[in-house]
Amino acid sequence: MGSMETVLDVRDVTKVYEGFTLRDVSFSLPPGYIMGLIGHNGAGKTTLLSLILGLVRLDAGEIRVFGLDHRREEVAVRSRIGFVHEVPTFFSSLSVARAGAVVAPFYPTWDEAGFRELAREFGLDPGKKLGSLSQGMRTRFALAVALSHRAELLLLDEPSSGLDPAFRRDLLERLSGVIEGGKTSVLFSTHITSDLDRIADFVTFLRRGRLMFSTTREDVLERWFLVKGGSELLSGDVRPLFAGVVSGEYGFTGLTENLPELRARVAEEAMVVERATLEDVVFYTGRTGEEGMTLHDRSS
Amino acid sequence: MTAQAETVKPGRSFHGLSGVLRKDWAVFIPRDRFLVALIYLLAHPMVFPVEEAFFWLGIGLAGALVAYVPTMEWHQETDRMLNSLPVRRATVVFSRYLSSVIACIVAGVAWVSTGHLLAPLLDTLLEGGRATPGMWTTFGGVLTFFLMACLLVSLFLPLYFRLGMGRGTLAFVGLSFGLLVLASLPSGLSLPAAALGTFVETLSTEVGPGWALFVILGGMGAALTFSGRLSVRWFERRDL
Repeated sequence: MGSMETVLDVRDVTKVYEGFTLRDVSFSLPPGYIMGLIGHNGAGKTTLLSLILGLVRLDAGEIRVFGLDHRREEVAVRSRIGFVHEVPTFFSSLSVARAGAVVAPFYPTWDEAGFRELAREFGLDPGKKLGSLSQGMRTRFALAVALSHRAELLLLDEPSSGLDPAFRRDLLERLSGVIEGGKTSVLFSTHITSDLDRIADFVTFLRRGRLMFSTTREDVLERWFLVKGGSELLSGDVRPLFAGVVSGEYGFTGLTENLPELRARVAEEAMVVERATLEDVVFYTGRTGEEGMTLHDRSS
Repeated sequence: MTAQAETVKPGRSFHGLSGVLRKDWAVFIPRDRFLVALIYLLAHPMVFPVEEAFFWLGIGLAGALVAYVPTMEWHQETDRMLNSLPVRRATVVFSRYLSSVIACIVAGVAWVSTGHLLAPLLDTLLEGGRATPGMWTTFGGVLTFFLMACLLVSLFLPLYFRLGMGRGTLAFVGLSFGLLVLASLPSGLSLPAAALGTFVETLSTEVGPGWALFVILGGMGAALTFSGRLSVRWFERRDL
C-alpha cells in the first residue's frame, strides 16, 4: 500500500500507554472523501489523530500520508495537512491577523487573501486577541488557518463540539465543498453522529483502543439493525448474535449485524426489526462487555 | 485561492526555522519586554554593592529571557499546535538554542552596559568606592558571564525538551543548585568562583587573552552542540 490511491494509509498501528492501548488499527482514506472517526470518550480518537500528525510516537505499525512515511518526511507531509485540535490553542496575546501572519511562513501554499476572507466569513475580528475568543471562535480561527494553505488532508479533532448549531451546519457544508475538487480529503473525529449522517463517506469506529470497523457509511447502515422483542428471546444461542443489548421490564432492544442468522432462529412475528443509525451503533456497542461482539474490520 | 500548490520537498531541511524565530519574537509581549527591563534596572541599587550579586542579576536576566517563550508555550499549551506545523522537531530545538544564544547576548550587553552606566553612580554608596575594577569591565569577567550563561542554556534546554517546562525547570533548579554547592565547597561559597573558580583568569594569564577566548568559545560551542544533540534526541522521542 502507500500508493497515491490513498491519501492516508494506517497499517497495524499500535500505541501503548499506561492503562490504555491503541492496538492494531488499520484503515485507509482515498482522495476526495470524508471519513468520520467515531467512538466513546477515551476510545483512542485523539491518540490516532496525534499519531498521524507525529505528535505521538508509534510503538508499532506504519502510517503513510500522500504515499510518504509520516515520520521520515514529516515536513513534506505536514505542509499538506490542515489540522484543528480538540482544544485549539494559540498564543493568546496575538491578534487574529498577527497569529495568521505568524503561521503563514510555515506553509509555502499560504493564501493570505483567502485567510482574510475566511476570517471575515467566520466572524473573526482581525484585531481581536486570541485569548479573548471563546473556544468556538478559536475553533473557527483554527479552521480558517487549516483551510488557508490549500491542505490536501484535513485532520479535525472534534471540530464541531464547541460550535453553535448554525456554524456547525455551515462547517459541514464547507467540508463537503472542500472535497468537491477531489484533491482534498477530510478525517474528523466526533461523537456527534448526526454530523456523520450528513457528510461522511466513510466511518471508522474505535472502541477501547480497538478498531471495530472502517467502512462506508452506507455499509454501516445496511449492515446493522435494531431488534426489539420479549426478553425470553434472549436465549443462549440468540444472545451472542447481538453486539449490544438494552433490557427493560417489557423486553429488550438489541443491535445486530447477523439478521439472517437471527431470522433463522427467531420467528419473524416475535420481533420488530429497524435499520440502525450510526448513533445506535455507537450506543449499543458501548453497552456490553466483550461477549457477543461479532464485529469485524472490513477496511482491508 | 490562487496559484499552483507548491509543497515542501521531502527530505531533511530547516524549513520553518525563520518561522519559529519570528513566532518567538511575536509572542514576547511588548509589555513583558518592558517589565523585564524595569525589574532588571530596579534591582540594581539592591545588588550593586555586592559584585557577585550583580553578576547573578545579569545571569538571572539571561535566564528570564531564555525561559520566557518556553514558559509562555507551557502556560498556553501551544506545544501541540507548534509541532503540528510543518517543522521538524530538530528545527524547533535548533531555533530554541538560537533564540537562547541571542537572549544571552542581549543579557550580556545589558549587564556590561548597566555596569558601566550605573557603577559611577552607585559606587558613591560604597565607602571609599570600589576597590577593584568591576567584572563587567574586565575581559575575564565578561567571558565568565558568557560561560555561565552558556552553561545555563546547555543544562536547561535538554531538561526542558525531555521533561517539559514544569518538571524540566524543577530538574534544572535541583541539578544546578547541586552543582553550585559542590563547586562552591572548595572556594567558600563564593558564587561566580563556585561556578567557574578562577578558571578564566588563570587561563588568560597562562595562555594569553586570545587563546583563552579561543579555548572558551570552543568549549562553549562544544557544550552547546552536545546539549543540542541531546535535546533533539530527547525531544524526538517525547509524546506531546
